[in-house]
Amino acid sequence: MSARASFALVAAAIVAAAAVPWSDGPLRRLAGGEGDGPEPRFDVAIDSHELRSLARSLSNDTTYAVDASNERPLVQGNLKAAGQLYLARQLPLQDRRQADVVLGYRAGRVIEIAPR
Amino acid sequence: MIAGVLVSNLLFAGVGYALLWRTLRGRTWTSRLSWAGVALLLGAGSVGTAVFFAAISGARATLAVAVACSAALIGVGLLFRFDIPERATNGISRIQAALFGVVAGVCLLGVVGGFRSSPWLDDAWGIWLPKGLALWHHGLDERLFVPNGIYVTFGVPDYPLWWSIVTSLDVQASVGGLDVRVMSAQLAVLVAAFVGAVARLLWGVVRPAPLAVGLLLLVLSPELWRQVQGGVADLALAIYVALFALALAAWAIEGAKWWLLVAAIAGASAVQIKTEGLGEVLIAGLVAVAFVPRARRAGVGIATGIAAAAALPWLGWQLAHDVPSRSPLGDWVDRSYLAERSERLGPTLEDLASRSLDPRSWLLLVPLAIALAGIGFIRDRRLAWLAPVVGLVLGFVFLVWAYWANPDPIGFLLSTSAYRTVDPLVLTSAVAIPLLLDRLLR
Repeated sequence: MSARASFALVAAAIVAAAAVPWSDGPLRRLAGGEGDGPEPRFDVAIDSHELRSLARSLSNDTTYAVDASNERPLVQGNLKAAGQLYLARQLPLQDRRQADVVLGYRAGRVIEIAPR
Repeated sequence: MIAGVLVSNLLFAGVGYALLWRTLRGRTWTSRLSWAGVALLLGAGSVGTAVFFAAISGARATLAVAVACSAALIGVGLLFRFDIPERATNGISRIQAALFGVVAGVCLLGVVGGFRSSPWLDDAWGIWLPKGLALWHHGLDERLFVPNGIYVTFGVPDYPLWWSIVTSLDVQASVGGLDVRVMSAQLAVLVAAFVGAVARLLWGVVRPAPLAVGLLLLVLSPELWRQVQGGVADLALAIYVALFALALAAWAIEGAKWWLLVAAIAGASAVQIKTEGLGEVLIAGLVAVAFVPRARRAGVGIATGIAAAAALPWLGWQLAHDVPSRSPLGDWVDRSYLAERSERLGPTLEDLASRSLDPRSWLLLVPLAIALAGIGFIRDRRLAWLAPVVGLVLGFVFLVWAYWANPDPIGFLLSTSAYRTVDPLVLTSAVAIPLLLDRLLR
């Protein structure tokens, strides 16, 4: 067996070992295990589909504010990040009174609580 | 998303190959293909840096701007021609080839894992990528990038934006909407490119067995792929710092000007990724100046100077916009400030040392590099053997100082970042091991 064949055989064997469906070894974890979806791993429940839909419906440079003052800091932090991630075309304001749109958080859902 | 990341990286590799085009002319396609990792890293580094500079100049960090920057870089790259000898080895045994097969197989799986993983680090999807998306839609808009009391601005406003820009380009090149897996996918591609680049650059400079050992220890380190799946920017920084150090070491050994170009691009890229990149590049440059032959010091100085100067546009923008630093430089040299916080030193030293040396995370990369250098010094009584040790110690001291001067609670700071801030030390050790081992076995 040539050196090239040896190289290819070992590399292929490693890849094949990870592809065995019932294995749960380090190689399978290296290949991403069961795999994740396209959403972030939020620390709290946040429905990103609603944020995606909001991002599509709001025009560029629309100002928004997230009113989550009654929520835990972890929720507030995740909402801030989720807004900056999904509503990147819009502009986040600190004061809800000056914002075109005010968003709230109810049981994992980000909803519009003040009309445009 | 897969196509988007591939398109971005083809663009990066294209820019890198343009730089190598005249040099590799006349070589076989297999030989040219073996330079893919080098081309990708040089291309990603220079395109990300050029788009960052364009953003600082007022442009939005769009795919169109990236293409324009790439076209300009390709035009410049095609002017260069370097003398890189086609190095031959005395052949490679089947066992050595099998070891490289393990490296390739693990990297392939790591890339698959990167494309299938949503980053576990909240900074990745909560700060780095949103900044890149804002640069795409609004440019470097001070309403979003400078704390102002009116708009909700991004955290860590003093961090450079290369990683944000590169991952944003991946998103822009993708169809089907925002997918945060681009971050781990891009990092996996960079890591695989790094492994390929180190193999290519050291092929023939060191013998196959020491090279295989160094690369195996790196790719079999559990922490490497855990961080890839986290989308950790520190790993991207470590790649370019290690490449910078490797290029300077190779310049010292071979004296080919090609290495200075690699060093300048890698160093200039490193300073665009994280704030500490500048300090780490300067330390590597300083150590190289101290240890390289006198006739090659000027080359080290030029490459390090170019890299350091590349930090100026971002520093200038911050200065012009009063961007607050999380850890002002004044605190680093304020003796009374540091004395009041001396209790931070013990836990910092302990945590950083255990992260660097923990065999369960990074196998034995750092201790092995130190041990090999020590054995070489004892055997030959030549100071050059100690260059990696001095570099690692200074890099370690730099990190300790950074944690010492930082205002955040030390327990929180160490637990959330020490595992990744040591990455440049670890990856630099990984590239030093083949060089040290090869010379030790001669």
